[in-house]
Amino acid sequence: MHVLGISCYYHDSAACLIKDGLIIAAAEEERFTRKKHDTSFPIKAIEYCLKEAGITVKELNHVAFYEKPLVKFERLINQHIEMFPRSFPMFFQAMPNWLSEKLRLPAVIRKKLKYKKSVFYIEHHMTHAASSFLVSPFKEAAILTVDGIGEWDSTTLGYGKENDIRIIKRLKFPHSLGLLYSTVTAFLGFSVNNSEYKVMGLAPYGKPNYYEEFKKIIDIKEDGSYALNMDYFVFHYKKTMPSKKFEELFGPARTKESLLTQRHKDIAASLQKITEEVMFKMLNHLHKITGSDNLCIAGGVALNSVANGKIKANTPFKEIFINPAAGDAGGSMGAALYAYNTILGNSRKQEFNSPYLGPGFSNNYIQAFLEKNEIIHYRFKSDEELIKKTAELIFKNNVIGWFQGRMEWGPRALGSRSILSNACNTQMKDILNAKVKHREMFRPFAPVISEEDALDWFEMDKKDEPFMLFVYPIKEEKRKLIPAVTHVDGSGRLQTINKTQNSRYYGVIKEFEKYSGIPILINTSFNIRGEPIVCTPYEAYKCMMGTGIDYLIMGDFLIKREDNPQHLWDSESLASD
Amino acid sequence: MGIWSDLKELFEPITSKIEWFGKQIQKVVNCILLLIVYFTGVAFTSISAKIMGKKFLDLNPDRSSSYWIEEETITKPREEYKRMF
Repeated sequence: MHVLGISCYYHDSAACLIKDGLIIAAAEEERFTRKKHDTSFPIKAIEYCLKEAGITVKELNHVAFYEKPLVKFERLINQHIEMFPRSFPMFFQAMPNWLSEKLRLPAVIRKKLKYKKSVFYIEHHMTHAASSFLVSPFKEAAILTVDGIGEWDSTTLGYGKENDIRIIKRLKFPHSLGLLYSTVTAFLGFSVNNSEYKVMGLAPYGKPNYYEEFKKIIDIKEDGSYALNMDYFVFHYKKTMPSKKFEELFGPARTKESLLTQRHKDIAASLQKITEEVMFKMLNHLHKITGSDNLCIAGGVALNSVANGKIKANTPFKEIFINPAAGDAGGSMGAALYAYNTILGNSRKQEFNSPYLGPGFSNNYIQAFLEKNEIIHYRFKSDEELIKKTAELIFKNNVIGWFQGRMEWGPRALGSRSILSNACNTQMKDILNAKVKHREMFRPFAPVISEEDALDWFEMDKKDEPFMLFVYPIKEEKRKLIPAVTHVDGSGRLQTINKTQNSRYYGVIKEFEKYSGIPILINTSFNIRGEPIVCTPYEAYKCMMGTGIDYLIMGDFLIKREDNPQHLWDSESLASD
Repeated sequence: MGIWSDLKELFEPITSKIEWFGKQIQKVVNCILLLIVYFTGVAFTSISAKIMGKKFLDLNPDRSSSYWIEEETITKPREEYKRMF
């Protein structure tokens, strides 16, 4: 049985195909269209999923969508009625799209997919819950979902057992922790639904001096429930988010690309403190009402890896699982799984053990690409040679574009579409930020470490964290050894890797350790700022030639940037969010 | 078929301009319709609601107790999921 899950029309459109309960393929639309956070119907992602499964639309048994469109429309109309006449510009802008496409989803699916059977429409937060619980290692678990907004819900508490999920409590629009975080993101001059993680990265540079101000704009109960003071927000009737009163409280909003001051850093720190306070109180309440020591989290706020890393220290939960695509893209996976397991009553077949669910390219394909474009390259004769050479290049402080296997699922690069470099080099962070990624200098880089060594380097209680969803303190005596991945507060958002998960990637780390004595590399996403992570060999090559990446290791091939001057170009002018 | 595609090519500059014009007219009509809907339907509902004291968004929930809404979602019969609501 083939079930296709779809998410689209808000941000991060994606598709996921499961066969008999096993995930065959999943990918975000942005990787194919090259439009970051693409919102459009994910036709290219769907085409990829079908191709990977070797089927056509005719073989699809069910399609599942990640929300109830009419319920969402009801909420929007309620907003306009409540906020009349101030909501007119938003009404004028949003309605044409709703009337032409979003409300006609069955017709859109029939036309674009040529799929004529019925579609399952599943509540948004239920798809979030499913995306985490139904592929978790738990037979039963407490489930927290927190995002900007679904139909009406912004936060839910639930419980899952076997293949069933029950949502028990909820908070509704406009009271949303995700929208609070996005409001501050906008206030600090960053782009919403794109740069919230930058605010998280900025927070350690500040102190929570605005904590009391935040307590004026969000009322938090001991059970973790909260309500926003809507005098400080305008997102319920305008495209902008903070109100004038918000600026009176926190000072003027920062314009994009302008200098970040201590005030901005303190605001970020205060926001992070408030977010953690809400999360921990909610989680403690969730533990109390469910009695489960297992926790699944989903929704965009589940990508707050700093908060995630503190959950066990601040709540009774013992085990945590989060889908790497915890945001709206993951809704497509949750929809497909919920349809198969819960609606259709099938038992769960799979734990999520590999994020490599996107397109891969064979060595023949890569070779044909290189030869057609007259790109000077070298082909490794063995895995050992590839691993040894890559590790040597990294040790010599080269920046490596690493393009291997199937593309990752979710917003993080996890060793398939990564840029790798030397974590021991004090200059490397600045080199990467300035010459390769063209991004803000405050942003840290993340470490990848061999799994067996993780406990020696990080203050954590379990050695495997393969999806880069948790930030932990680096052991104090080790921080000076890996300056390029140690954030200003001594923490790192790590990925652990073992040989079974990704043998070449693991091999490079262990080989690097022979040179340096340190089993850690910088792992950052293979893209320039403002672009989605690369998907194809062409995009990988183009990214290298437009940045300071020295070598590209693509399949069995090595390509040196300097050997191909005819293809050089400068990406810096295009790098923007 | 050859003559047909030749004719299409010949008239393409005109047909593309007509199509463009049609899209502009559509935008104008959409604008007018949206204005009418907003300033009649939405306005009427909003004003009536304000007179009757009905709220469509809970902007100021009761602060004296928990904000959690105890509303369960459990697995429903299959047919319920085929609806967009």
